[in-house]
Amino acid sequence: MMNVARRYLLISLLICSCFPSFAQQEIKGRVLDSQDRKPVVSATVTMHPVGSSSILAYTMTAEDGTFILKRNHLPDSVTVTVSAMTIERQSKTVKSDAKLVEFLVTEKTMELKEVVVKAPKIRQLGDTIHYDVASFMDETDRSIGDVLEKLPGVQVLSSGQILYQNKEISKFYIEGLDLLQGKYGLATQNVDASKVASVQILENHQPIKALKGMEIPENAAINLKLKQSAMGAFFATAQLGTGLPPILLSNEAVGMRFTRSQQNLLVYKGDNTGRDISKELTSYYDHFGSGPSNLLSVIAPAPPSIREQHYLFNDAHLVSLNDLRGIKKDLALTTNINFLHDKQKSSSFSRQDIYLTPSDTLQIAEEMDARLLKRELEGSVTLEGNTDNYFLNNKLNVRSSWNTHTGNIAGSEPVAQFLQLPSFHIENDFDYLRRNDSRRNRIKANVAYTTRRHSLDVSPVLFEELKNSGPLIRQDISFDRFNASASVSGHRDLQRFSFGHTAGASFLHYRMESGLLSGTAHTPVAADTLQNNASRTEAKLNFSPSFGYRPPSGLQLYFSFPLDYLFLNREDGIRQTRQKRGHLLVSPYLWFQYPFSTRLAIFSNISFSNHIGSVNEDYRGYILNTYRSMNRSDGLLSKNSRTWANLSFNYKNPFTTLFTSLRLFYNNTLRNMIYDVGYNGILSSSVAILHPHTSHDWGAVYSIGKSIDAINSEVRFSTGYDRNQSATLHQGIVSGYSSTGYSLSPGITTDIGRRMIIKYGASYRHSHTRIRDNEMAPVNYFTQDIALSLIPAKGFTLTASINHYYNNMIESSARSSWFGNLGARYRMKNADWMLDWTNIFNSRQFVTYSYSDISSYYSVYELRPAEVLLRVRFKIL
Amino acid sequence: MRNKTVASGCIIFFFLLTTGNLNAMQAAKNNQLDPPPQQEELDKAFLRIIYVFDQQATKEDEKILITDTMALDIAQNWSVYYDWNKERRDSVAKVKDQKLIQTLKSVNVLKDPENEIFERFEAMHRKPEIMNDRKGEDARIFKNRSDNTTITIDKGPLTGAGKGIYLRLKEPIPPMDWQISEDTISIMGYLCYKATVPFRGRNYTAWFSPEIPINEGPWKLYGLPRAILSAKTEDGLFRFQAIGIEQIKDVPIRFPSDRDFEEAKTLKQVNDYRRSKLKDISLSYMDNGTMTILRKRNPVKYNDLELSE
Repeated sequence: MMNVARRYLLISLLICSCFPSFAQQEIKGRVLDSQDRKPVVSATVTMHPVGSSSILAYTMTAEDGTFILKRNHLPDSVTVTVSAMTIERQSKTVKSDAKLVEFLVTEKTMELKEVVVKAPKIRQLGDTIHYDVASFMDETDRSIGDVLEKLPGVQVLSSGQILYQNKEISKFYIEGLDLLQGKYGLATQNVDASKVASVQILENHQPIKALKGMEIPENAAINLKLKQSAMGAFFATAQLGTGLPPILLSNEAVGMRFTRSQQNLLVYKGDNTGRDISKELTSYYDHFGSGPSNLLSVIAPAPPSIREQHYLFNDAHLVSLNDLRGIKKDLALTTNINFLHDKQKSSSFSRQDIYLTPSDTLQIAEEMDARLLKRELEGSVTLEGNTDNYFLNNKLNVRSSWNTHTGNIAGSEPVAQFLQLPSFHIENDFDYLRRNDSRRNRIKANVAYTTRRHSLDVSPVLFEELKNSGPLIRQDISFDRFNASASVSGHRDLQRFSFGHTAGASFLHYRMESGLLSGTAHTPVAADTLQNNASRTEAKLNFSPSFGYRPPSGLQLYFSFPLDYLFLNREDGIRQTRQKRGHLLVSPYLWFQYPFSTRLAIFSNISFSNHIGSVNEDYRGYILNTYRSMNRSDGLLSKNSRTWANLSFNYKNPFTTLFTSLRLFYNNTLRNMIYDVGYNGILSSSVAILHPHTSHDWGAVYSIGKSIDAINSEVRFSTGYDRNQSATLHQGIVSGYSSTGYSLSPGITTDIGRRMIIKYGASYRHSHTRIRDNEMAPVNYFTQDIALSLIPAKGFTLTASINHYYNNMIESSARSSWFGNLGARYRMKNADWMLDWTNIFNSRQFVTYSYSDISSYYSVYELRPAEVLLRVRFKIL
Repeated sequence: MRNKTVASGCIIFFFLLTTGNLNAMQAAKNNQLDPPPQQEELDKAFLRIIYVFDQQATKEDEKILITDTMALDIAQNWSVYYDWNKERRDSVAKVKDQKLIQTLKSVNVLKDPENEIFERFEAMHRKPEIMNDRKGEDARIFKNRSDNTTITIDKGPLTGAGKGIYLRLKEPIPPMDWQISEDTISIMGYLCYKATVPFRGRNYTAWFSPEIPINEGPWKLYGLPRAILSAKTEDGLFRFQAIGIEQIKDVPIRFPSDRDFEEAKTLKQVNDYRRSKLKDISLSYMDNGTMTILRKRNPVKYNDLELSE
């Protein structure tokens, strides 16, 4: 009965629907359940071309299971498909003039591929990216540095420096405060990962609140957001460690307290197990220039580029005291005091081949050992006020060091070297900015003083010219440098444009004296050619207009054109000469960034600058730089100009956790002079001569990181290409050289179930050097690190790791070196036990082969033996 | 300065309500209160799709992205689209409010149009708690596919002594007339086809998967033969993106029952109220059991998703 009625209805529908349009063709039908022939409601009906999945028309079945598909110009036959979540999908190919298509379908619940949503590992809010630490942490991680390494988009270099999207971070905060002033290794190594709730990346971070939205930097900052339970309380942990052979010690005591207005971090560490704790005191903000480089050095083994724990014979103690307190609203006082005492020993055999001329290769083979004693004390006090209206930063920094370096060259004619490097530096840096509506003014001032009294003792002296004065010789250098600068700048911000100017002046005075002393009585050597008494005064006026453009599209453009007038006065008290000259220096700079979307952005900067040579060129008397080289400069003033261009693309997608960036760079330096290095046996001496030449380097760096949840892994890959080209001058012959290299480095961390964690990282580098059109044999360098951790019970971890290094150029011994390490860790409620057996194969030497300008280096470096170390770490508070 | 001190439970109620935890407050003050009668069950959901909903807003002239995680529960005839994280967040707030009410002695309510009091508190290092900052999406969208009605239920204004209401708007929204194209994309491993449609002043591009044969989509969007897994407005200001799909078992779809309903007459009425809610924020300062509440302009400016009716 029902069916009859429905059929009538259908027919009447058919008749009605004939009228409206003739252009439109339609297919009618109905969908019934094959069991009880009841109509299927709300099923979707789609019409496709035969053999294709694209949709020509679609509709839903009505209450009575009927449907009408309408479409202009149908092909001769079409496929009609009926589907719903509750029925089995059915398709029929029908002629397009078919009057009625009937589907008898069977009930079946559809099974979909499920994608279960967990709390996102990475979230983005505005310019801040939040990484949920718990999602990235595994059993083997202890400090926050272990977790940082795994975050997609974040890279931690072996030096400890952190990069985000291939660019170094500009600030490292804990709860929004910069306690460590750049020495953030103290935080990454000592703050427990379990105390951190999230790591935040602040993209394009402007640390000065009053400049927010006005000047948008390219670099990002990191902020550690602590768990609520870790805020406010004082935590203290200690570690005791001992091992064999001979006696190994690894002790530490760390105390910390963090709130949003007061923070402390106190660290003592002592270590002689090759774990380089002194790295924690490296500052990664390039705020204070280090001044001129040291002229004297000891020929000492060059450390190989392997895990330092294998080769570093250290005996280090460090103390770091850091305190930050809010003294008034938005005004904080930070005090940092660091002390390092480190004795490092090294020994190696090295051979340097210098390809002087096509037919003449000089070989320097040295068997040597060295001892470096570092005693460094640094303190700084920083006062910072930071609000939307003003910014004040005054930093007073004092550094003092009493380092010595002792070296011995073995062989038929052994040489002893002893270098003393006492140095003292004091600097004050002041920065004040005030903003009133659209205007802002800024004052900067800096005063610095450095003094160094360096001396190098060599015995016996190898240079014939110096021999008559006795077997022992000492090179003394003392210098003092005073620098003061100040600048004033004003900016006006309009809707889209900003205009600014900076005017400033600086003054630098530098004085250097050097001389040779012979014999145990330290009698001065009188020859004028071996003495220096030079002074240099630089007075500089600078003016720099700048222009910024920020349309609403998100484009940021910034251009500045600094103009410096430098007045230079060089005096030589020994040779009674004086040189006064004025120089005009320009350094235009163009920067822009453009976000194509919230995910993809492009950055670029192009700059040009010219420089006048530094004080290291002012000495016209010879200086014994090392036991086998003497140099002087002839009073020439070096001039170089540098062009630098940089283009980077950053892509990030916090949802898919994909972070990738590509950076292209080009650098061109034109120099007016070159050093002519002359050899007499292994002894070298050099003088500067005028010879304009250009060096180029260019290359690309690409990196990508992602969490792949399907295999519980953090995956990263980076690759780079670089090429550089330059010239050197040896024995009167100018030699062009170039080197090209590329590298590939994949890495993965995988959790297999809850019982196993695998970490794998590899790096392959291929490089080849061309010296005067001679292709040198390419060097292929390959390293792999694999660590397998098993977690048989909660809190108990067993780790086996292998480090493999391969270098194809090594001929005298095996090209591959293997290191094996075993470790066990047991976590109890209040104590953490760690037992490590490192270098289980007891490899005692590491062989390296590499190229640098027109030389090749071969070195055999002494390594630490197999060692066992037991450590216990426990909470005091 | 116009400030007055009131110390009555009624006022406490009134302001705590703005945190959006009426249930918690009532339960805390009035333990013997019966659970409110449940609304009738509309349908049983069998499929849940989780979307992230991004919207661009501006905060002090800076563009910011606001992200909510939304769930779409789909049943035979009905579906409901709601903030997936809100429930969890609200239960955390509930515990906090219960603690608060036990220690509360008095409440000061200050209007602060010129930011004077705010600045004074700032100078005293007092850190406020933001009371009614936009924490997730209040509105729930119910769709009845069998009669093409969409019902929006959003938190409405307070009526009298601490009683909140829901604004309920019934709109007939026929399935949208999508233009399907041949372009394909893969979302969460599902093949998707592209379709476009103008809707209420914005042009939408959606991606729907032939593998999920149900005419549904996030928010008010639907009308395609298959489920919409991604949709965004042409101007890029709004975006819905599926991040999860789960088959669920008989999860009831019903209207919320913790407040009374007031039927809204027009979409404008609902959207105007929504806008006014986001215009101001309330800051609260606790001091020795005294709570001081300031009303302040919200620095975040939102865009309207619907530009026309």
